[in-house]
Amino acid sequence: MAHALIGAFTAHWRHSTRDWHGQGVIVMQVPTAAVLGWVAANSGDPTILAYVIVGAPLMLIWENSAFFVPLALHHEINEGTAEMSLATRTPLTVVVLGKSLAVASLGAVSSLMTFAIVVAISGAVPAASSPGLLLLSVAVVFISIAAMAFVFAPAMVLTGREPGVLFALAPLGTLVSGFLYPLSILPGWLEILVRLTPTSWAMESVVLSAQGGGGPGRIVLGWAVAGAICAAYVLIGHILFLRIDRRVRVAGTLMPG
Amino acid sequence: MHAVSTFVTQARLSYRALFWWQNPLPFAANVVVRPLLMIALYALFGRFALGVDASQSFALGMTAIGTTFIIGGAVLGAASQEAWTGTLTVLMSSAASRLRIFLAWGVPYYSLGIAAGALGIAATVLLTGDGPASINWWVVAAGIAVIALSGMAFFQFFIPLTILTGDFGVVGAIGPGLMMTLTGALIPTDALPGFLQTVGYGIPITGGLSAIRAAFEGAPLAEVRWHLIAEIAVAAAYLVVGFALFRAAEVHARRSGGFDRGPA
Repeated sequence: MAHALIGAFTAHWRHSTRDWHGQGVIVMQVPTAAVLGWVAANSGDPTILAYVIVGAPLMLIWENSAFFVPLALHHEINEGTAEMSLATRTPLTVVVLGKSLAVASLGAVSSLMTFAIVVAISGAVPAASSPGLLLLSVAVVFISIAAMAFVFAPAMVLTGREPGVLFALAPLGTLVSGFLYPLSILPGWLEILVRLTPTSWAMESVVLSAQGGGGPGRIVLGWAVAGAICAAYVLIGHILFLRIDRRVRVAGTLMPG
Repeated sequence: MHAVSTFVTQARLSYRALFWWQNPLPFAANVVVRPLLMIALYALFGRFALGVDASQSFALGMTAIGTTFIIGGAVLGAASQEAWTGTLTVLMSSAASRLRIFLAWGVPYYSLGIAAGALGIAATVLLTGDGPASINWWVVAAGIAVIALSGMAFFQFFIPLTILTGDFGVVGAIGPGLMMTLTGALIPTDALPGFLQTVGYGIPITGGLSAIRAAFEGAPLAEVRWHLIAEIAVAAAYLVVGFALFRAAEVHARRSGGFDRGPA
């Protein structure tokens, strides 16, 4: 299983870094990074600066993943290779999970440029209260992003293979994740959605690690809750993939009827 | 009369065959949901980072970008679909008017921009709590109309590049990127270096958005007419240059043997 996961990761990584469109994703992040960096610099507030420097790269990883993970499966279906994956002993869940991690990792590489642009424009790097915990919290955000994007892939297939829909819904994940602002500024009726999003818990740990306050206990609690929600997302994704598997074995194709 | 009916037929067929968001779910997601979410996201961020005034300014900026976003996706999507499905070669082998072909890729989507813009304005008013009575709605409507026009022309300008490179994603991202940074949508134009300010005036949104922002303060049409005229001039320039590039791309494609090839 681990071999299949690594294989799916490597295959998607190689495929995405081979063509110039894959590189173009990095270029597409420049304007957003420039705008957010400018706003952070003009706010004159170290808290806002900290949010933007850490949150902007993570936000862009999420927005890429939310689109490119379902799109990867969409391409597999269009090119007929998804059926081959279904014919092997490797569950499609593992293949798409490997792809999700590859997409998020590619986003992480390109987000280094976002980070550099934001730092260059804002002209400052605020010191973190707990650098080690901050790095671990960022890693939890990263895993949360991969888990959320993973669920989007089978959802796309079951709702009629429309990756454009998920591209449009990606900002909803951004809105309730707290990448750029504290979640307390959101209206109360969004609370349920916020609490069902693993990135929101992980981002709270990021903020606590960067700014201090609350102690390591609250940071670890954020990781634990985010991890539990991620596990639930992967389970839901797996169940959806099983439904796809059953549907394919009845219809004989992944193409919608 | 024949030219008009031919154009209407071409535009209708282009919309029905090449607009990949015309199913209800992707249509609602891209014309309604995404622009509204982007407006809410930046309005919240603006309020948190720079205060209440920035919230309205950012919401209007994202409304202007959202007005052109749907047009850009549809126009470049239609042109690249034409190339990917192989119908472009057939189309360009015909004696059909090149101007009509060029315009038929863009005009059907103008109304989508208007719809996205109207929704964005409504969302801005609801989110920021601006009093509708103090807004000059005629100027706001004119601003949305000219932004949609210049956005359509701007993305038609990129059609030749989309066809020649076979790329939709990266080429399609250039326009929104320029609009986001250089038009005053989020970063005020006077905060940009002098050279970039000049470039910004040549990109859609700048004039129309200035007019809309003034209209939110109750400015009359006479006060903002030059902003609106500038936006129309930008639209005309992109349409003319875009069509010239389209003809040049056709000549290049005939020499290199295909419309779906990268530049030689």
